[in-house]
Amino acid sequence: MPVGRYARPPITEAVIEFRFGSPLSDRMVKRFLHVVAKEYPTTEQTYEISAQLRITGPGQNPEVSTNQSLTGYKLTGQDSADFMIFRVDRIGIIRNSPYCGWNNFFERAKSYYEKLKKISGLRSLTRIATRYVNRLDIPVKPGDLVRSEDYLQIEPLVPTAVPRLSAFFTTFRGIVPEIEGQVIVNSGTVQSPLIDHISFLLDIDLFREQALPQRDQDVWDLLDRLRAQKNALFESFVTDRARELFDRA
Amino acid sequence: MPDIVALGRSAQQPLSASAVVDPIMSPIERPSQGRAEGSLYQPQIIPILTGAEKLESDLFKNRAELKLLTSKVAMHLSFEQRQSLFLSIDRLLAAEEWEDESYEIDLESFQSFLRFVIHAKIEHMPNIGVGPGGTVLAGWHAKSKSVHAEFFPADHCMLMIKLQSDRGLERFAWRGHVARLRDVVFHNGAIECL
Amino acid sequence: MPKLNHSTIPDENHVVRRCGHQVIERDLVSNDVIGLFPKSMQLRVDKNEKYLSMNLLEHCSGSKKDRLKAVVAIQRSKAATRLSLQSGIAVIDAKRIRKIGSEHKRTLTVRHTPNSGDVSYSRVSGLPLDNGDELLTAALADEAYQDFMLLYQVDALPE
Repeated sequence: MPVGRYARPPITEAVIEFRFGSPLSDRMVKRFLHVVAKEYPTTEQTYEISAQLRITGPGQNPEVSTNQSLTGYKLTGQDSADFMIFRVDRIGIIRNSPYCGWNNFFERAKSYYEKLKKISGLRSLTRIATRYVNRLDIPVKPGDLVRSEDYLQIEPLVPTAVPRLSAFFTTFRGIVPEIEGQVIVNSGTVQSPLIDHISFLLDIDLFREQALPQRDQDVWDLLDRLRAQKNALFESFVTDRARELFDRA
Repeated sequence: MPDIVALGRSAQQPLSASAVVDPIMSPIERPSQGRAEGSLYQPQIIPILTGAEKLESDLFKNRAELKLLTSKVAMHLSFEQRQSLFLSIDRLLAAEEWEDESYEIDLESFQSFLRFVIHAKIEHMPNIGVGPGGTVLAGWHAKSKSVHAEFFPADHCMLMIKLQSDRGLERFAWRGHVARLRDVVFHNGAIECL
Repeated sequence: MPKLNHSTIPDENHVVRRCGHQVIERDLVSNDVIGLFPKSMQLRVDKNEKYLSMNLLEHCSGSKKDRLKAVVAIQRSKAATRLSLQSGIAVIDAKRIRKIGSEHKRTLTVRHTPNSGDVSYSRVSGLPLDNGDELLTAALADEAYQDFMLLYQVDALPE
């Protein structure tokens, strides 16, 4: 059951991520995968694949070269709502909808961080992030028009020469002094998965890459502050009319 | 970095509503799913299931994709609805029951089914099966009435209603858009099934 | 091998339809079998089917129980993969098939069409090739469910 301020939070994906300054060894990676196997019974290896074409001369067939490298692992939980992205230099704990509430999500992330630290020893952190991808689903009758500013406080500034939009997408990056970090926000229209709805994406990626704490308790305190700031940002980006959608049972 | 000028409210016209909006190819990376597909210039991240035979791997992929589709709309489903869907998916796509005539569930058919469930605000989740080609089959029963539906891609569906009237057994068949399905069931006297 | 003759199955005989586990309707809560989806009696358009595949029950000898076990053995021998114990077989009266067809203004033929791989093989023909008559196939599915068993139940029948 979702726990939080809203009856139906619009969260489609929530992420807590830690990045490390020094990579983990193969032995450490395998050990960690073994430790979490019960909670994440399915493991996929992720490969980065790239291809290059080189034109050697006019009329010549291009030379093709490909490169494939193991980048890490994607772990899937029992109900396919919990995931983990695990690489030698980072761990991302992911929860898809339905969101389980901050306390539950935070405790899980904390638990996996502690397990990893037990295996790998103290590793300096280079990035701590929380990222929440939200989707606002707005019911509309066919033919109705929707004003994005009725739901979102983010909108593109468009000259009147373009009187109507059928879609938009914005992205910006800014400094957030309250957490000595930054935020990347993506927002815009997305294809709605629901009948007779229009949907807006609101993706808030809040992170800190400098002066990172190393003591565990300080890391948890920072995560709590990231969460509080993420909530404050979210509330500043949506309108009361949008909030009514999340509270509707 | 210069301060970003606060965005003022524009006088732009409202967005056009549509049941199907052109998808935006957003450049964002979805954390659990890797980078946006289709880019020729960015390296692709491909997950590969380890330690499983092909059938298990294929069925795992099908189950995972269906559950991922469900998660995208899970905020509109109750806990019980989601649980019952997942139990059905696991049962219908179990490797140990797989046969020559078994089919993976078609994602687009499943999407039509999910869109119907949420749009119609049904009270009772149906019994679920899989038709040839991977279409989703659904069945509801109440007293002497039954409703069976088959869901196809692009929000198409087929409906069969059976009920006992004073004059004997009656059956109705209908094809159309999933958004109309509930109304058709209602107008043909079988809404208590849903 | 002598030529295998095709013949019309008499009214008093029966055909057996195999139903995969995915077209068997199970109650969501109890998981009990409660029927067959109408799809169980439709042609597989993706496989370009022109008729419903069946087995002639009376081709096999013995009691009904013996015949059912024999039919299942034939089906198992033809399958590329193992048959799920949660799949099933439905026994349908040839006369009832023809009657349901005529009630829906269709002439359904029920014929014994043995081949070297299966001498009990039979066919029900006359259904629309695009499955356009849903009422017909729903009626056939209801009829099929009147005498239906799961494979594990057939296996458990005493010898």
